[in-house]
This record gives sequence, C-alpha cells and structure tokens, in this order.
Amino acid sequence: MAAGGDTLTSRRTLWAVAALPLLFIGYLFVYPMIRILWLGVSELQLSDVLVETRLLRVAWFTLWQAAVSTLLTLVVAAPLTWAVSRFEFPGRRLAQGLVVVPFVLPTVVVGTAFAALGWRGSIWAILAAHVFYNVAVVVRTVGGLWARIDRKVEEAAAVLGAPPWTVFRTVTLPLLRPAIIAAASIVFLFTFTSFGVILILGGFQYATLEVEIYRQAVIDFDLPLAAALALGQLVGVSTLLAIYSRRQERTASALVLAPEGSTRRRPAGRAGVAVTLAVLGTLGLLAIPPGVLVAKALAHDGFSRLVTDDPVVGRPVEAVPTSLQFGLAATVIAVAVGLCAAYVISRRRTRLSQWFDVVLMLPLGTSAVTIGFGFLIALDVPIDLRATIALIPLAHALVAVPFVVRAIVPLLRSISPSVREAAAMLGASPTQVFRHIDLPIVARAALVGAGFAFVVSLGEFGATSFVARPDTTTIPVMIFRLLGRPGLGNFAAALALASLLGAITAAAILAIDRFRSGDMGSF
Amino acid sequence: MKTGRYLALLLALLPVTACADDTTQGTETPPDSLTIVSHDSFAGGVTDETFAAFTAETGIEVDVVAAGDAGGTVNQAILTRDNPLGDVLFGVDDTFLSRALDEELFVPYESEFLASVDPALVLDPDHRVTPIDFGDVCLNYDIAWFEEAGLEPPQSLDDLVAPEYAGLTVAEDPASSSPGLAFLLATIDRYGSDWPGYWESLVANDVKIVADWETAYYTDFTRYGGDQPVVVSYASSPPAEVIFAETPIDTAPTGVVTDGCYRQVEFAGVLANGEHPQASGRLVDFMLSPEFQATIPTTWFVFPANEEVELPDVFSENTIVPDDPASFDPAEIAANRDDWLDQWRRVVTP
Amino acid sequence: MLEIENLSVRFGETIAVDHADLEVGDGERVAVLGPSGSGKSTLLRGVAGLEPLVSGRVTWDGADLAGTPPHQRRFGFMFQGYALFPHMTVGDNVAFGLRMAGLAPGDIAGRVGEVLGWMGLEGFASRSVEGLSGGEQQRVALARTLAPRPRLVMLDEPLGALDRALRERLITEMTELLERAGTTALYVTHDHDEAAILADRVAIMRQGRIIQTAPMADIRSSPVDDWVAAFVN
Repeated sequence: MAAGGDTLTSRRTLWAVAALPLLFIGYLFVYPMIRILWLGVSELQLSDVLVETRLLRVAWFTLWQAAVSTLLTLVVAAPLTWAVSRFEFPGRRLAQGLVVVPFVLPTVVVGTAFAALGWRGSIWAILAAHVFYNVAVVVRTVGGLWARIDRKVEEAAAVLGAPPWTVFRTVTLPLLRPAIIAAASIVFLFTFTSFGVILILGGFQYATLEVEIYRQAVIDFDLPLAAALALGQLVGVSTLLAIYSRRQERTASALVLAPEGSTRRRPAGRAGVAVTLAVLGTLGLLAIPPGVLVAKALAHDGFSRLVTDDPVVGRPVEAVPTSLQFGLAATVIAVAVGLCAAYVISRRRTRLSQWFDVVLMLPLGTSAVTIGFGFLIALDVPIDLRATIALIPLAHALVAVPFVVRAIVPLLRSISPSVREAAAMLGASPTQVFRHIDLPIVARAALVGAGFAFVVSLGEFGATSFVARPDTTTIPVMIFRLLGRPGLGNFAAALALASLLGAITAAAILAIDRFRSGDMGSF
Repeated sequence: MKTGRYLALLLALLPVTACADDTTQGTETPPDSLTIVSHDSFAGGVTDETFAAFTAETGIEVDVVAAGDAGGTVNQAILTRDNPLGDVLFGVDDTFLSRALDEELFVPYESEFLASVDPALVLDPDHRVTPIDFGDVCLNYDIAWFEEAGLEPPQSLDDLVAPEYAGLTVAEDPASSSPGLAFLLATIDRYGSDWPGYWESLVANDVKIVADWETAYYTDFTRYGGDQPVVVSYASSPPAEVIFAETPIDTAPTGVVTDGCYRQVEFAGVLANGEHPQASGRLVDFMLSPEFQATIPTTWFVFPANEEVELPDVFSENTIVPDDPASFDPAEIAANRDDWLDQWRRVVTP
Repeated sequence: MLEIENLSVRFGETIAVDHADLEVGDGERVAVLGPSGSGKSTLLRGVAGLEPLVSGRVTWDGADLAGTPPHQRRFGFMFQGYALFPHMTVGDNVAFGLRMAGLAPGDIAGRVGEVLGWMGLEGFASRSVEGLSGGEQQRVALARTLAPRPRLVMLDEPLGALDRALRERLITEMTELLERAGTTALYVTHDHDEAAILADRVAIMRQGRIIQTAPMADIRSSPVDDWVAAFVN
C-alpha cells in the first residue's frame, strides 16, 4: 500500500481514532440534545414563540452583552498579555497562574464580593464580572502565541520605518489573529450562556437566553418554548463557531514562529515601567474580589470552620478530595478524547474535520439546563448513567474537551508532513510515527489542555448539581449547600472554602505551568 | 421436602405482605435498596444516620439522589416518568403539586401516621402524595439594626409600604425563587384582586428585588453587610442563625414577622413506575414517623408535619410557627401562576 | 539494484512523472537533473512509496515493492528542508532509524558516534536541533539518513537551501562520504555542476519525462536535443 504526503495515515486509522471522540460527543451531547429538543419542538406552536416579543429583546440583550463583554475583556487583558508574553521578569509565571483564579470562583460568592464593593445591580457590574472571569482566557491563549512570534519580523518592519504602534497594528496584530479569534470565541461563548452573573450581579431585571431557558424549563415547565429558545441559542452558537473554524483553517499555517521563551527580554527603562503597571495593575484589580472574600472569611473565623464537623454537611473541607478526584477523572477523560479528536481534526482539512471541531465546541455554548434535562431523558440506555457518579466527570469532560483540542490542534498542524515522512523512511510504522513524533511534540500542549480541563472541573457547578448525591459533594456544591442555610458560621465557611478553591486552582495551574513550554494557541 | 421449602419462602414473604395496605396489591420481593429522588437541599442533609433506623428495621438500604434544584424536582420526575431514577420522590411542594398530579407521577399510598398530621396539610385527598414537612416563608428582620435605628420592626405587610420603612425590604423574584413566589402568593392572599396595588406601593417604597434567596440573605440583608434589614426568608431562619452562629449565642439576632407568612408544604410520593411500590410505601411511612420527623427541624430547617413531634428548644425559643399563614389550593396556583407572574413583572419593572 | 519501470505519478491534477524508466546499480550514484517543476522530487517520492503510482512499478533486486509501505522499504530519504525532529537532540535524531530497527542501545550509541564523526559533528550529540546553522542541519540530516545503513539513499535537493560556497564544499564532502560508504544513491538536483561532481550517471528530466540517461560527460558531448545542450552547460 502506497501512502502519500499527509496520507501516511490511512482512512481506516483515522476512523479508528475518531471512534472515541465520536462516541463521546455523540452519546453525551448530540443524542440527548436531539431527544430533549425534539420533545420540546414537536409540541411547539410557532405562534407562541413569535407572540413573545419580549424574547426578541432577551435575545438581543444576550447578543450585545456578550459582544461587549468579549471586547472589553480583550482590551482589559491586553496589557497583561503583552507583559507576560514579551518580557521576562521575576514573578512572570506566578502572574500567569494567578490570573486563572477568578475563573473557578462560584458566582454566588463573587456576588458577595462585588456587593461589598458596591458593584452590583447594573449592566456595568455584569460587564465587569465577565471581564473578571475571562481575562485568563485571553492572557493565556493569546499570550501563548505572542510569546512565540519572532521579534525579527517586527524589527524588520521597524527598520523599514514603521513606528512602534504601526508595527503592532500591521505586523503583530495580524499574526496574533488566530489566537485572538480563538480567545474571543471562547469568551463569547461563556458570556453568551452566562447565567449566574446575569442574575446575581445584574439583578432580576436582566435576562439572557440562558436565564429565560431556565425559567421556562424549570419554573414554568414550558418545554416547547424552552426547547425553541435552546435551539435558537444552538443555531446562533453553531454559526459563530463555523465562521471561527473556517478562519482558523486559513491562518494556521502562515506563521513565523520562534521557540517559546526565546523572544522574551528583560524590560528596560520605560518598558519596565509599563510592564510593572500592566502586571501589578491588572492583577491588583483581579485580586480585589478574592481579597474581599478572604478578608471576610478571616473576619468570621471561616477557615477553622472548614475542619469543624457540621452535623449535617460534615466537614466542609472534605469536599476538597472529592473535587480533586473528579477533577483528575475528568481530566483523564478530556485528554484522551481531546487527543484523539485533535489527531483527526489536524490530519485532514476535510469538511468532516471542520464539522467535528464545531460540534466538539457546542457544549460550551449550550444551555446547562438543556444538557441536564437531555441527560435525564436520554442516558438510561444501554445502561442507566443518569444517577451514577460516573456522569459527573463525563459532564465536566464534555465542557473541557474543546480546550484540550484547542491546545493541541495548532501544534499538530505545525508539524510539517515531511517530518512524519522522514520518520517513516527511517522505519517508523504509522503507530510509531504517532508515538515518537506527534505525541512528544504535543505532550506539553496536552498538559496545558489538561490543566484547563482540571480547572473547569474544579469550578463546575451546573452538571454536578444534576447528579447530586451525598457522596458527590464537590467544592462548589458544598459552597452552595452552606449558603443554603442562614447563619454566620455557614457564611464564613462558604467564603473560606471559596478562598481555598482559588488557592488550589492557582497551585494546580502553577504546577502544570512548570512543565509546559513551546506551545501556541493554548489556554 | 420441597413443600416445606416453599412454605418457608412464603412465610418469609409474609411480613412484607402483612404490611401491605388497601392501595397496593400482591406481594413483592423486598429490595436491597430503595432510592429517594429529591432536590439538592434534601440530599445535602442526608448522612449515614438519616435512614439507619429504617435499614435496621427492614434491611433495606436507602439511597438519595438529587437531580436538579428544588424548582426542577417535579420536572425531572415528569421527564423520567417512564423510567424513573428512583422509587420515592420527595420535594414536590404545593406550588407544583398540581402539575405533578396531572402528570400522574404517583401511585397512592395512605400512611398510618396521617392521623397525626394537620388535615390542612393533606392537600391530596387521594393520598397520591403524603405531606412530610412544611416551611413558612416569612419576613425576617435584623434586631440589632432596628435597635440602633430606634425604629420598631415591621409587624405586618401594611408596614412595609409605610414611609418609615422605605427602602428597607428585600424580596426575591417569584419567577426564579421559591420563597419569592411564596411571598407573592401571601400578598395575593391578603390583598385579593388589589394585590398589584400593594406591589405598586412596595415599589414606590423602594423595595429591592433580587434573583434568589442566597443573594437576598447573604448579600442584601444587613446582617451580612447589605443595606436591607428586612428580608423575605423563612420562619426557621432565626433558629438557624443560633445554631450556625460564628460564636455561640443564646438568642437569635433576627426576628420573624408573623403577618404575611406563606405555608409551603413538601410532599413525598411513591413513583408510578418504580419497581417496589410496597417497600416504597414503608419508606414514606418512615419519613412521617416521629423518629424521622424529629430530625427534620435541625437538618433541613423546616417544620415536621407530624404534630406529635415537639420542636427542639432552639426553635421554640427563637421563632414561632405561624397559626394563620396564607396558603393556596394547588390547582388555583397552577391555573393562575403565569398570569400572576406576568402581572407582577409589569408592576415591578421600571 | 533499483529498477524503475514505466513509472507514472500524479501530483494534484497533473501527471508529474510520465512513464519514467531508470536503473540504479548497487553502489552507483545517479543524479536526476532537471528544472523546477520537472517532476524529479515526485519521482523520488514515488520510489519511496510516499506517493501512489498511477502506473508502472518499482523493484529492488527484482522484487516488486508495490505492497511494501514506506517504513518497510529500508530506503534512506533526505528531505529538502531536512525535516529534523524538532523535539529531539542531534543524537536522538541520528539514532532514530537505529531505534526503529531494534538495535541494542550500546550499538546505537556507537554507530551514532561513528556517523557524527564522519560529518565532523563530534560532540554535537546532546545539542538541540534548534539553533543549528544551515550547514550543521544538513550534516545532521545526512548523518541521520546514513546511520541505519539503508540499501538505497535518496536525496531531494539536499543543498538547495545553502549558499554557493557552502554548497560547493558540501557536495565534495558528500560525494566522498557516499563513495566511502559504498551507498547506492539517487540524487535530485537542478544544479548541473552538483550533478557532475556527485553522480556516476545523470538522468535528465523534463516535464515528467526522463529524456536522457548517461554519464555527465557523455551528455555534455552528445546532448539528445538543443534544450538538454543548453541546460547542462
């Protein structure tokens, strides 16, 4: 059998590798979604939907607040991104790790912090909270690529007479575009399906599609309407992702990359001042809400309550090992599925792989309530997964897989086909090529994806609450339970636990970052 | 001899069949375990001890699963009706009872302990559901704040619209919050068809509305650093404040306004397509038994339906069980809820 | 001995190699010489098994290689741009083929040292491939190709990326190396001087066809047409 170029991988191999992610996304997402949406839409009277002009306003609000949030996040994150990707300075790695902490904090707890600062009940609070949560996505995704852009390209432009801002605008920015688009898409998806932030930080008068779906599905049990809204949300999200995916295809190969870390310089003079301001300023702002939490927790002796045995919830701190175990399980699943998916997506530029890429990202943009209900009606065959512990890491992995894929695909694509062919000519069978060439190169990127999968799992609340059992109390669930009853002790313990969650997250990310280098387009 | 063995088997099954009541037929093999499907608040309070007595008596383990929050409990049961997640559903309350009964989720079961329950709580005469507990949604106020302000705490719903109480109240959105809905129902019960007028006055008096109870209580209530000393909460909140205080205290820092309370009743029911209806009935019995009911107040902070159970001291000292709370016929709620919510939203949205 | 019979290979829409015939005897060095776009690289890839054949066959010592995948042909291939493994050291790159062949670690180390010595790259074994100069990369690539003692070495414009002076020096070195190792070689280039120095015979390729195969001197003295005459001088 002769093979050619990128077709060292036979169709058969490709389909064999694709089996795992196809099964995963098909069974855990596509099938439940079809079932629940069909259930709703089959009884839908189109007139019911159209009559609700209020829904149009809701849809519009959802769209523009997500767009503005995304834009603001990009802008606010820019200085810090610039600083950590172009410069070497003490504490750089720490900064890159700490920026992730907001990501895991439950909304209910962040709401408390914002309220203490007087920041609540307005659209500005919503936007600020979105920025707070998502800065990390931009810093780490765009920063990863920016750190690898060869300075020589910019220097060439400067020598030809371009002032710094023009160099940035005409040389750097276009090169950064794939990562910016990747980061922007993810932030947009998150803010588009935002729920807790809208309700708790905005106030009851704000409603996004997600909130409406919740109200319709859970309170009113108007499944047809909820399904219609969910479908609309899905269509909107799919369109956006399809566009995003096409752009990535076109720009992925045209990059001039230097090895990671080789482009960083120590900041000098005015640059030094700018870097300091960027880093301390951004981190300082991001640290305020968690700082408020820690302060309040300390003021009310919350940390000692973590290890005190509560007659009902037990020792709150015992949620930590549960969270860590689920995190580990979810990460392993997400990396296994993500690796296979990335392999398929990067190997051939076919419509199949593009479509695959989009479908994998859909869970991020789908209403959590819809997914949960989908689980309930679909996952009882062939085995009843619905009330099992296994569902939790699976649900977490569902949301985490896109990130693993995002981290790995650009790197896989950057491996020139002749490198693989060289390995083959030296006697490596297709499996050996994957093992000795692809795998080591993407191992570090996979580790980065794993880091994010872990973080997602730690902070996940929606899916976990759908399968809650006394023995599956993760940290966010425990926080929510503590805040479900009155009492200063509960309050303090919840805040302390949230602080602990932030600390664990930072530690995990910092540990993983130790091992990573040389990747682009990663989180 | 073979006959002897079959006889022994039959005799072994007898205790189960002896407990069968009029509403269930035939015998069934006792299962190893039963599953209660509920919401997260219930599941969160379950420990190894909770059902230990039941297991000791029957040999049946009890598993608790929560699929969704309180609002979604009934809905998820409806979605999984043909292949339910468990045997007993606990956590359907009066505001959603009508929906649950219309979808034929349950098989009837008449508990032996119903005699000890206030008839007003038995909202289904056909016993498709059994009342297990009730919670009274009432206004709470911050005692310390009112002392410092030199103001008398509000005593009634009418007080809330008086000028001296302007901007002091925080309530929850009835469309997404259970206590929020209960409070709305209480005002509808009190003011009848003029209830929108009351809410207009509330709005004019700067009432604050937030999305859920956690936000109202832990962010807006003055006790936790907020600006509102009056919050829509539960009659059981003051005792909880004592039990979960940061440093031990004797009396609750918050008080309850007994006017304008709404009684939410929570029910358990044997799921229609469960495999062990008889054993499930026994479990429902256990949940209504004095033994289990006594654990209810300090675990879930609601009041036991079984009147033979005395409230613990921390409860009787720090709160009262309102004797004339508002309540609605479930069917009426089901019929009007959408309209009421629409109307409410129109009044309250600026 | 390599036999290419009636070989046709498609590249995209066009027939890049059009019924090519060529023989390479054991120990012989044959250059495939032609302008860019003439199909010479595709010919090489077809022999390696990296491109599917439209027609014809490739045999080694009489055995048809049609069913043999590239990694089993034991042909060395040196790529344009070298295709060094970016995540491995120089030593690991050179050792790769030996590892795939299942050699013992001790033997591998010995061979790697030997080959690096030929290339004048002593002490480079633990260096990363990133940061090597063009000439160093070329030598590592050649070392890697030769280390597993392939029965045929194919070189696809290996000197194309280097400057003139370096090319001239390296072509002589490579010729000596290949001669010393006695390796059968198929060498693709567009530079007739390189072909003249390195090859025993030269196959002129134009628009997918091999139009003349002979030692360079013979081609120069009796070109088969005016175009060839112009091309080799």
